[in-house]
Amino acid sequence: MIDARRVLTIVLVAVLGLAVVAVLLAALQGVDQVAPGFASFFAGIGGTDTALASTARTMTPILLIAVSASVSIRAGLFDVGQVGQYVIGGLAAATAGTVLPGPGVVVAIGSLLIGALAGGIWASAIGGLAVATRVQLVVLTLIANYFADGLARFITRTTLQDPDAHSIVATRMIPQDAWLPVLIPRTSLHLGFVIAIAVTVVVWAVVRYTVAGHRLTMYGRNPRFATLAGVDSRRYPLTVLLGSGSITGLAGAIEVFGVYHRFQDGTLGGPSSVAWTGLTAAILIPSGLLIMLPAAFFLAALTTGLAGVQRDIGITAGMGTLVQGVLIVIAAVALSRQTPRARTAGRPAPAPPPAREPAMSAVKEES
Amino acid sequence: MTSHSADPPVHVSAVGLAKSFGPVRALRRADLTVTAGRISALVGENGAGKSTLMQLISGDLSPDSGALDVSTRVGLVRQQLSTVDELSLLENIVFGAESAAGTGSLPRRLVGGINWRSHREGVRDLMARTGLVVPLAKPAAEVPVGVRQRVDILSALYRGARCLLLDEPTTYLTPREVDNLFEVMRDLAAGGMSVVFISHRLREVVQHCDEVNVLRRGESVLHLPAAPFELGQIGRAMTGGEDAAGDVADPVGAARPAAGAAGAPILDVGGRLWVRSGEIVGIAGVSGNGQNELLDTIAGLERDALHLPLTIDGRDVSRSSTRSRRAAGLRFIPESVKESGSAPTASITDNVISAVPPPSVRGRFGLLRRATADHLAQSLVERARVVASSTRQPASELSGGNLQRVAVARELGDGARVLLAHEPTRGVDFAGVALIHAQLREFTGRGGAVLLVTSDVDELLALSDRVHVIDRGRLSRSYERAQLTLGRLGELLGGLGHDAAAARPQEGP
Repeated sequence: MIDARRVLTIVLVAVLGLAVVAVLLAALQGVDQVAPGFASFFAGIGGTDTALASTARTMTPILLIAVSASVSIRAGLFDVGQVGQYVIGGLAAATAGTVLPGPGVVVAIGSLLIGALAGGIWASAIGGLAVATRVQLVVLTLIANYFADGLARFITRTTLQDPDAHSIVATRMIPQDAWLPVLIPRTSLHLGFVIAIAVTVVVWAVVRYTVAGHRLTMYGRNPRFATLAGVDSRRYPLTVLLGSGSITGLAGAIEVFGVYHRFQDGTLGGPSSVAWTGLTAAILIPSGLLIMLPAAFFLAALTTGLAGVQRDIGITAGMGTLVQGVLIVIAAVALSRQTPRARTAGRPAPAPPPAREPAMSAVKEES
Repeated sequence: MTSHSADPPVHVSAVGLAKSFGPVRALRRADLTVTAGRISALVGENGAGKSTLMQLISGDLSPDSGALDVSTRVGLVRQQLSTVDELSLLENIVFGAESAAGTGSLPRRLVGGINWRSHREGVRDLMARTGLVVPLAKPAAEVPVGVRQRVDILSALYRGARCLLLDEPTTYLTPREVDNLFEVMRDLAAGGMSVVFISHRLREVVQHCDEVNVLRRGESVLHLPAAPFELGQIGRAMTGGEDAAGDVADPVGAARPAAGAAGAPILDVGGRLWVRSGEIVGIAGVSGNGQNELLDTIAGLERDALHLPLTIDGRDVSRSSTRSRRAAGLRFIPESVKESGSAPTASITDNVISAVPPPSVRGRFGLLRRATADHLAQSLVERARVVASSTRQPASELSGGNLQRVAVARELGDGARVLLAHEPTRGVDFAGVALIHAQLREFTGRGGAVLLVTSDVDELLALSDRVHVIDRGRLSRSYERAQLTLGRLGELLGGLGHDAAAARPQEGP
């Protein structure tokens, strides 16, 4: 399933990225800063256990959301509502985490499932609205992202607000025994990373080996043919969105249970949401699944590596954004030349991503 | 020479026109003379070359050979109307000719502005002169198709056309609108214009036209300069006459299994249309007369449209999904296999098992048995004699004929009881046609039923046991193949012999 050329492209883009970093360092900080800059860059990605763990933690939601978006793109659905699904999934899980009774393990598992389901139902409902109003899915899901953000803020402020949190809009903390366990002591890497990888592999296996996965792919290749073969063209897209949305919902739930331990306004959604980064990966590599592992790592490494440079050398925050923007444009050009699969059955290939927006997001998150 | 000057001027003179598109010879030897003051009919079957001839005259295409002399401005009104939904009717009429009649003030002309007032007056004047009246301020989306057609005609006239070419202008019109259209045409002709009227509907031609030209397979085969016209003669000229019917149909008739046609129908649409085991029932008609709606309804793609019970093997499936109808044995070859009956980017194997794979390739735990699927595809490719290097090849690499054979063989696989075949041999070469016909006969030979919808009358007569004619959403009674000749079918297709049809209306789209 992993196309060698795609991997090669990612490597190539990575090397080019380093070159861009080098040139920018030389130009902005002086040539003598290039070597230490690179040292900081790699140290930021994996110089210490803490740094590597941080990269893996950053990669977790990117990976899940990339896989989620990839599933809907595979079915020919251009859903860009991952930010909304991510927020709704996170809020639902955080709420469940504070109200569900029982031991921590049960609360955690139940909340993650509820978060996933909430993301799926949200995606499916927006899809249903798109069908009912005959508005294009891409338009409605994009708008729904802002709606979800506002809705989550409103619900949090009006009913779920933690009375002890004064300056932030946030729910109560989840009981500590329900937090996702940290994998490596004294780092931020939590169990969610393993869950994300497992989900990726399972989705890949389902798509590759099962009748359901075959149907998904065939529907994406030609929905009219699939409809004649007996797929219900009214219900099936909503089913796909239920599935793909729940993967993003799960990402939100994992982020809440592994990192923030509450739903806090502005951490999951908004223009700097990491969900944009995941979507970008899926648009750059349409229908890719296992390849999202290196792709998500690459995007996360760029984020943590540049954060390292920023911390040690004190470059301006804009540089990280700039590097990511340039790289994503390079990747878009390189990958669009070799992915005919994106143009399934005459439907236009997904438009190039809103490249700078998601690129900015990941860096801001770290800064 | 005084008598000569009194003759009406000749607007178009075409002699021996030929035009090919690659290997397809659309026109071989077409002649046409269009004279001012007259309405000429140009009739012929689908693919006879009528539209190509019109495009040559209008200047959209240039002929490969032959002599063409056009002495006046020609306006072509296409079957697919060219109105833009969002624009007002005035804008639609003036579209593309904005500056031509732009008699605005100097500053307006300098900035390239459009003098709408002058255009509106011009169009109003034209409407008053021709009697073609449309509400100019309304957007095209809000008016019926008959009005939009008038807009296209007005648009041609506004550009100064003196010769109007109307390509199938009555296809979507109600009988009343058709009468109105001809009144207008008659007035225009009386004013010294010429009109070429293209149609399949012989009755309209006979009633309203001054002369008749018949095209068959790119050749002018009949020219009748004046009424009265004999319908049978025109119908026979269109279809090639009765002698050809004997050649094509007889060997087929002998091979048809007569015994299998007894018993209850496999497919029954409210008692108005049914197909029995071993039977091929043909539906003849010019495309766009409700064939798609009929088939989509039977296939379950348009579930709300049918108000009649639909049964397959006696089981009512009128409320069932496409999937359950397929499970009951319904199969469908859509009109365009390339667009709706295949996934070009998917492998041949994936196209064979489709999005809802047959039970034989479904394993435990919802797993797909790829090896079995490959075997299935391999045996299908061999059986249907598909030319392919591997079943892993993408379907897009198959030729049209091979892709069609894959679709036919797939649909006739395990569990098939009744096949809806829409233009099953369109775009397929001669050898491929024979193979697909053999596949269909083999299917009925083992007890299957076929509903064949085709605009190819030769195919229809070669395969069908009974024939219905569909016209403007209405299905005629069925005619036994033995009672039909090409000439008779030509008459039926020309809108004649509907005596029995009117009594049995089919639920239209």
